[in-house]
Order: sequence, then C-alpha cells, then structure tokens
Amino acid sequence: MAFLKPTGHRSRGWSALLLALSVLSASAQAPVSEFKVKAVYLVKFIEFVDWPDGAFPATNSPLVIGVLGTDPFGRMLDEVAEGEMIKNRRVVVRRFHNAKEAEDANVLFIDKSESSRLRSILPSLQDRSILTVSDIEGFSDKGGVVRFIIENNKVHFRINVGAARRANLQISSKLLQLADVVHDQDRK
Amino acid sequence: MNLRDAPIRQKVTWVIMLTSTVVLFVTAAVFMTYEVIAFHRSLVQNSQTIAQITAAQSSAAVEFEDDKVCQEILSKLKEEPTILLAALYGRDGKMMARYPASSPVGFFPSAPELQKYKIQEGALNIFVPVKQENLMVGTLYLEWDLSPAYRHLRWYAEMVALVLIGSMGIALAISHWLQRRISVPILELAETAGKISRSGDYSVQARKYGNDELGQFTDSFNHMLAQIHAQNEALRKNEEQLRGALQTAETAAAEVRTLNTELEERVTHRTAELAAMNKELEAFAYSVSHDLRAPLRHIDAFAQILEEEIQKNPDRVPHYLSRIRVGAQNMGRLVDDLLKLSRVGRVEPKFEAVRLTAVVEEVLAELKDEVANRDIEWRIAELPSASVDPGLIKQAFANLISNAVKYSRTRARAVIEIGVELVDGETAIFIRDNGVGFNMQYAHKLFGVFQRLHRMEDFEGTGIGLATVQRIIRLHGGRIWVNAELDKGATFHFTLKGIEAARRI
Repeated sequence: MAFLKPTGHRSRGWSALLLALSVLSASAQAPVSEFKVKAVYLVKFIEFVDWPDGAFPATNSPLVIGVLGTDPFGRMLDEVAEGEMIKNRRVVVRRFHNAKEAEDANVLFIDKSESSRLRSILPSLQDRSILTVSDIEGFSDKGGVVRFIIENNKVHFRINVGAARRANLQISSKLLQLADVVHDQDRK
Repeated sequence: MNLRDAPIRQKVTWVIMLTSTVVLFVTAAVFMTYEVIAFHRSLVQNSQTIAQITAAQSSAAVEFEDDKVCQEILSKLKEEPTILLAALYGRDGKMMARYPASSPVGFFPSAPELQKYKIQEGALNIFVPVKQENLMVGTLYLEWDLSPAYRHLRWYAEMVALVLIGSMGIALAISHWLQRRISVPILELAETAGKISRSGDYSVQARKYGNDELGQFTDSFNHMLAQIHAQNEALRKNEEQLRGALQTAETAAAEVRTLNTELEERVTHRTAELAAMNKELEAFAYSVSHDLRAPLRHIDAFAQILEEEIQKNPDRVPHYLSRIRVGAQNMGRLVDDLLKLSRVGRVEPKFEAVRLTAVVEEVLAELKDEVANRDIEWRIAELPSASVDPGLIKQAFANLISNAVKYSRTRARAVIEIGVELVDGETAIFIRDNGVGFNMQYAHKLFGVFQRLHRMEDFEGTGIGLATVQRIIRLHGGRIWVNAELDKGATFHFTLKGIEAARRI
C-alpha cells in the first residue's frame, strides 16, 4: 500500500529521532526534551492542517517551517524535519528575523523572545495562511493559532479556531479533538 | 428392497422424491455455500470498515500519542457489542490504548501483525494501519466475536433444513398426488387384468382416466377384451348350438332305440303270437280234419255196410240209415261248434251292462228239457252285473253249466254251485260240480280245441266248448282256470274286466 512507501523515508528520520532522544534522555535535561517534543509536533501538525491553494508558489514548493526570534530547537527541528515528505511536499526549516521575512513560512514558531513584538507581528501575518505556533502566554487571545501548553508534564496545545479560519487554514477535527479549543469570533 | 420389484406406486414416489431431494439438496448446498461465503465477506468487509473508520479517527491521537483520546475513541466501540477487544499501537508498535480498558494486557497481541485478518477460536482478528496523509502512524487491532455470526449461520442452516424438510413434505404430498394420477390407472388395469385372468370374465372393461399413453393402452386393452368377449360369445353360441344339436340327436337316437326296442319286442311278441297262432292253427287244422274224419269214417263205414247188406238183409236198412244219420248229425254239431268258435274270434264284441244272474237263469231255462229226468241240487248265488257282450257271455255260461250237468250225470244227486268269491283280490265267478272230475296233470290240455279228457263213449262232446269259453273270457279281459280232482268234481273260476269295472263304479 501507499503508506509503506513513505515509511522508508521516515524510518531514517525516526531512527535519528530515537537516537537523539536516547542521547537527550541520557543528559536528563527537561527543557531539551520538551522542545524535542515540540519540534516533532511542529512537523506533525502539517499532517492535520490544509493550506489553501494560494499558500504555495508552486505545486512542488517545499513546506516551510519557520522559526521567528531566538531558535530554542537548535539542530533538533532540522533533524526532525529532514527528509520529511508531507502532502507531497518537502519539509524545510528556515529561521526568520522579522515578521516580513516570516511571510514565506507555512508553519511559524514564534519564540518567547518575540512576545513584546507580538502585537505587531500577528496582524502583519494575518492575511497570510500561516499556522502560527508559540509558547507565549496569551498567544491565543492575541490571534495566534496554536499555543503549546504544559499539562501534567506533557506537551499539549490550544487551538484558536477563529484565528485558523481567518488564516484560511483547515485544521483537522482529529487534531482539534486532542486540542484545547478556543473561539475568538469577535476578535479581529 | 429391490426397486425393480417395487410397486409402480412406490417407484413413481421414489423417482419424484429422489429427484426433488437431490435438486433441493444441491440448491440448499449452493445457497448455504453462497451464504457462508457472502456472509464471511460481508463480515470481514463490515468489520474492516468499522476498523478503518476507527483507525482514521484515531490517527491524530496516535500521532500525538494522546493515550486518553485513544482510549476515548476505543471506548466508542462499545456501540458494537460484537467487538470483544480493541487496541491501538503507536508508530513504534507500542500499545497505546486498549478496549475494554479493564481487560488484561495479556489478552492482546503484544505487537501489531502484518496479517490483515485471521479467524481463530471463534473470533475474527483484524489489524488495520492507522494512517494520516498516507503515512502509517500506528495500528488498530480489533477482535470480533464470531458467535453471533455463527448463530446467524446456524439459524440460517436451520431455516434451510426446515425449508428442505417442508419442501420434501410438499414434494411427498405432490408425488403422492401425482403418483395417483399415474399409478391408479395402471393399478386398476393390473387389477382388471388379474380379475379377468382369475374369473375368465371378458365382459369387464377397464376404466379410462385420460388420453395419455395409458389411456391409449386402456383403449387397446378394452378393445382386446371386447374382441375376446365377442369371440368367446360366438364360441359359446356355437358350442350351445352344437350341444343342442347333439342333444337333439341323442334324444332322437334314444327315441329310435326305444322305438326299435319296442318294435323288436312287438315283433318278438307278434312273432311268438304268430308262432303260437300258427301252432294252434296247425293243431286246429289237424284236430278239425281228424275229428271231422271220425264221423265221416262212421258214415262211410255204415254206408258200405248198407251197400253190402241192402240185398241180403233189407230189414236192417233203417238201422244202418239211422247210424249214418247219427254220424251226419255228429258232424253237423261239430261244424256248428266250430262256427261258433270262429265267430267268437271274428265278431267284434259289443259291451253293455248285463245282470249275470239273469244270464244264468236264461241258460237254466234252456237246459230245462235236458235235466228233466235228473236229480240236481242247484245252489245259485246272486251274481253281480258286468259290462259284457250279452251273447258271448251267455254262450260261456251255457257251455260251463252244460259241462257241469254233463259230467255230474253219474251221480245219483248232482250238486251244481254257481257263485262269486274273491280270489287274490279279484272277483271271480265260479261254477262247481260234484261230477267225475279229472286228474289235474291234464289241466293244461283242458282249454285246447278238440282236447278231450274223457272217452266219447262215456261223455259226448266236440272238444270245442271250453276252447270257446276261454276265447270269450279273454275277449272280456279276464282269465279262466280250473281246479279238479278225479271223481270228486271240478270248479271253474273266471274273472271279467267288466265286473271289476262295475264293482268300482
């Protein structure tokens, strides 16, 4: 079946991840483990989100995971994304320094370092179909789409379906099932 | 049992039942096979559909390793009670959630298997990949309880068996009905044929049921029977005619035989009669010529003497002439008696009622002169009347009474008795005298013509009288017999048919 084919691609990634996990768990550093999970989640979100046709310049354009602000993942995100082929697109990781650059991203992780500029960043990206993800407190309230939260030492996420709709993103109900869903219809 | 010898009724039933049973069994087997296959397919398909839906639903939960949501998704399977066990395995093959949550881990496969589904221990095990965007993110395991399915199949099989039995029952009923339509005419034909062969009655006709081959056969059979019957009838008629003819012929032959016998008897009788008559005639002729010669010789002798003496002793002539006359008178008497005798045989008797006593009185009156100088004691009883010829019966009485008078003349006092007595149940008239009588050994000669028991010199007579009497009595259907003893007298008895007849009247 079709699913067997990608497995070959992914097994490399997975083995790399497992290797990394074992290395990291050996170092016993909780934050590293947390971001490792977040990196994986960032990639996995792609499977459950549909972008509009106009979101990509070409049919073979890669799917871009962007990091705005200070990069908390280090090499981890690159390692997770490497070789990934989702929705017939290659997954690439790029790092951005300002909101203007970040317009090219499809998934954009906004680091805590940008929390003060968030009010300006989010509106500037508003017309773009970008799945914004962040750890920043009140991210959802400010119009961000996905916010990571830690519950019982596990990484969870909150999704603002209003923001997602405004961004013209279709988030799978299956993903919403796992998420802490918020509505901000009245917000613009 | 050998089907070959089985009655047609059973054969037809067997044929129908065997055919319908085989057809029914084949149909039922095909149906069952089809049903099992279709059921199996639909079962697998159905369970796979549910498994795939569940798998699809759980892809995010698996991908994000959200055990709680996984558990929630699996718990929704309780809507399908035939699902016994369910489990979700992550990308790494580790079990993430199980259903029912309370069941021990040991019930589940420790790791997902590649086989899509397998049936074991009454359960259907399915492994379905959990995919998202063509990526396999995990595996769903489902175990289905097959017992309801088997129950359904068993129920179905029972229904089929029921339908089979019902159909066979209907087939049996139909076959029973059908076999009647076929076998009853055959059985009746066989029975008719059997009856005919037993009784030989070909007038029977077999009943016809339809215009099929059996009907045609029945027609031919009946036609044959009718022909045989007609032939038999013709034969019987012929036989009857023949028998009738034969019987007629036999009767005729018997008649002819009887006639012949009678004829022969008559001929024999007549011949004997003729012979007797011939003998009588011969004797008669001899007697007549002999007795007639005696007076003739007498006459001739005295005539010769007269011739010689007429010259020498003319005074003796009257004596010789008187002697010649005696001879002539004797001869005349002889001829008279012969005429009388012959008249008895010649003249037809005329019967009339006659008082026999009157006849006796008449005879005695005529004998008056003859007995004038005799001492006779007459004992005359009253005689009955009889249907007789008066002339003939008078002659018979006259002969018998004059005989009695004649042969009793040597007695100083003659006793003559005339009466009636029963002899052997017959009325017999008797005439008894106490005269000279005769030796009974000559009794048989007494009634012959010219038979005389005494010398002419002692008692005159022609020897024709008693023969005449016997002839008269015979003419009257009676018989005459005599009892006598030498020197003691004689008794004549005679019967007359006329007396018997009169007595009966």
